[in-house]
Amino acid sequence: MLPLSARAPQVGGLKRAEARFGIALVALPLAAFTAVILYPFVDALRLSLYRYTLMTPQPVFDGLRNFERLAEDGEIGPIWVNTVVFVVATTAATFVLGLAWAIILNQPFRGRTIIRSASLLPWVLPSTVTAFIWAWILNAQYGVLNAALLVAGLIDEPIAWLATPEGAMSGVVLAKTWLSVPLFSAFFLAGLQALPLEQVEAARIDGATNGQVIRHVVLPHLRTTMVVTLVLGAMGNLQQFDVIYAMTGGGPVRATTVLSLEVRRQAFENWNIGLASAVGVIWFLTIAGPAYIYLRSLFRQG
Amino acid sequence: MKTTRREFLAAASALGFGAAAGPAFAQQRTLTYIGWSHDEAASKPVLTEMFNAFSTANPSVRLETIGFPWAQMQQNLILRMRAGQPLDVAQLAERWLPTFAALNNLADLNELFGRAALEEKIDAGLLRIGQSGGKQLGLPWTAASIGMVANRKVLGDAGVNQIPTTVDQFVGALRAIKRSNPEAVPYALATKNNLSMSPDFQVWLWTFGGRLLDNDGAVKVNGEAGVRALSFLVDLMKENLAARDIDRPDARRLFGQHRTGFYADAPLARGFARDNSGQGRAFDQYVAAAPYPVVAAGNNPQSVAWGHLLVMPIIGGRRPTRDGDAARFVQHLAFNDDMQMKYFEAVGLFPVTKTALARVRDDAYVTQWARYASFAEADEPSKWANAADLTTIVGEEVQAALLQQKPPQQAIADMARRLEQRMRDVRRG
Repeated sequence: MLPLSARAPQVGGLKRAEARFGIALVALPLAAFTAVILYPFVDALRLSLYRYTLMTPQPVFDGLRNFERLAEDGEIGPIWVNTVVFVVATTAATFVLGLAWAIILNQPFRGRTIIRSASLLPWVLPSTVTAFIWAWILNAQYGVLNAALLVAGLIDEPIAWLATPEGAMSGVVLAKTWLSVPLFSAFFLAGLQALPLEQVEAARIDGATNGQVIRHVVLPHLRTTMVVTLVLGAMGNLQQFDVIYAMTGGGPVRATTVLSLEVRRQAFENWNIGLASAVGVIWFLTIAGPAYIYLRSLFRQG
Repeated sequence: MKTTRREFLAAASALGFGAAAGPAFAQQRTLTYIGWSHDEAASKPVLTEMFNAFSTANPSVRLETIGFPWAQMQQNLILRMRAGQPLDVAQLAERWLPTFAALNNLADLNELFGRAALEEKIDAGLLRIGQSGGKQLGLPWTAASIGMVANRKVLGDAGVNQIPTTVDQFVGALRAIKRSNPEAVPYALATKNNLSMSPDFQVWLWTFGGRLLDNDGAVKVNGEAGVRALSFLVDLMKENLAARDIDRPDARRLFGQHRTGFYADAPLARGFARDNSGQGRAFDQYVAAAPYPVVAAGNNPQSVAWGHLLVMPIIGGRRPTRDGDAARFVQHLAFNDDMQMKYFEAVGLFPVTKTALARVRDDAYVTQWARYASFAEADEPSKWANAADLTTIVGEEVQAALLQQKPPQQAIADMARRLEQRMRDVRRG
């Protein structure tokens, strides 16, 4: 019989030690996640079922009344549509322009480094600064765009670009696209730089045109990057707040009010935390779709 | 020089003792004030001076001032009060008072200073803007109205030699301005921001004899007066006498550049014109306090009451006392004529004490404004705890009509329906 101290290590002991070490590593981030994200999220879900305004210091359980009220008011539907229009338009425009710009920046030409660096400028600028710049460009009375068009004789009187539903939505889409193109370009450029030149050369030898090279060689190579960029871009645009708030405040007549702005309005203008939470739930359900696609693609890659 | 461990420990002990003992020797009490004006470039120097004067006169009080931008003030203040964080005195816009009154923790200044003492210092009419639910919850710090401002140069260039007083004269003046300068916006009516569109519309609604709500919260806007008022504004837009995409800051810039004849603003308008024109006080000659036009000669010109209040919250059961630091600070700002005049001269905000008002009697801009402000009515939505929601509804429906997305009749009917929904929520609690 062996002495106790000389007993052979138990099967799985090392794995348990590794597991304990792993748990210790994730404990702190998990605690932070629970405190900063999970708890507020679950609490917001709970509060969406409560009547909780400035007049009700203690939340009162109200079932689905907040959701019923949103349906009765008939305002949440157009706001949801605005959100979808903004997300689809901005993501599509950013995607196309970002890809085109990345392909241009991937070509060898003089001053490429300077152009690449300068391209990052819109991304480096604070988004509210960008929003104010665009608001000034499109301003009806002082805007640079109106001044240029008047000088060119293309219009007879200033146009209030941000005063119509279509103009305001186009304006915020334009500003957000301008802001996001550098980031999309950076993703695509990284993907393009990983493209083996031999494949392009082989296609050229086979007589492929520029368009055919892009369609049959470049785009398939970028497929994973494109999926990730599209999903991340859509999620980012679903969460967009500052550019729209600074440019139009959600107007005119709510034409650019998206779910994020509505949550703020209910919570910090109307002081209706219950209703704001209900809008937040709808917002979460909207964002859950792209998030699911993104996570699934990540896990599949893993 | 090398420091030994013993010397280091001795020094650290001394520092620690000093830090602990310091406050005990000083025995300073902290007074926390929250506002927005002392954080704004124009009023920061004069308010810093006024705060320093208080600190000098009250060496036992450590005045802690916290500033938030105006747009975030209400939200931060409510969160702070709900969290029970220290707060002795706060600056409020008069329209926020009902919201804060609903929190039920503002001191009644009638109990603190005595009704008679307040009325001896400040006119009863001005004190009204600080009242809610029969209590004096806010002390006016500056008070006037959102009234009409006219640009004398623009009017003169258009051949309009007298400031119009009736609606017909007003429209005639606007047409004259448009004829003389086709690029001008004759009347810079607010058409962009709900917070500005709602008061602008209300004044015209009152001018045409209508109301949004009665005193019990019943919706009254859906009537002939409402439709007439909104149709009048829509017609101005159609005739290019007013323009899209205009908010107060836009109007102020247009005014300072002689590109608009009229717009609505608080008395600060003259200060903004000085800054935006780049001419300083030399621009004062062009700035006139004008009455809102009336339908028939002899009617009183309408305007929206406007002002800044000082309130004393009761946090954690700490009720302010008459001779306490907070009360002294409030009196220093609102009762002290020298401070009131200093503030007026620096930024143009009207004083509130009777004696200080007497000192500005020679300023025609102030006296005329004060005369028109004597008919000012309170912003109607502000009376209700869901004021922001009501303001949004009024602004959105007015904007929809001004942008010709719907006819005025429909906009007024939709406004009434939506206001009724919200007032039902108020009754439900």
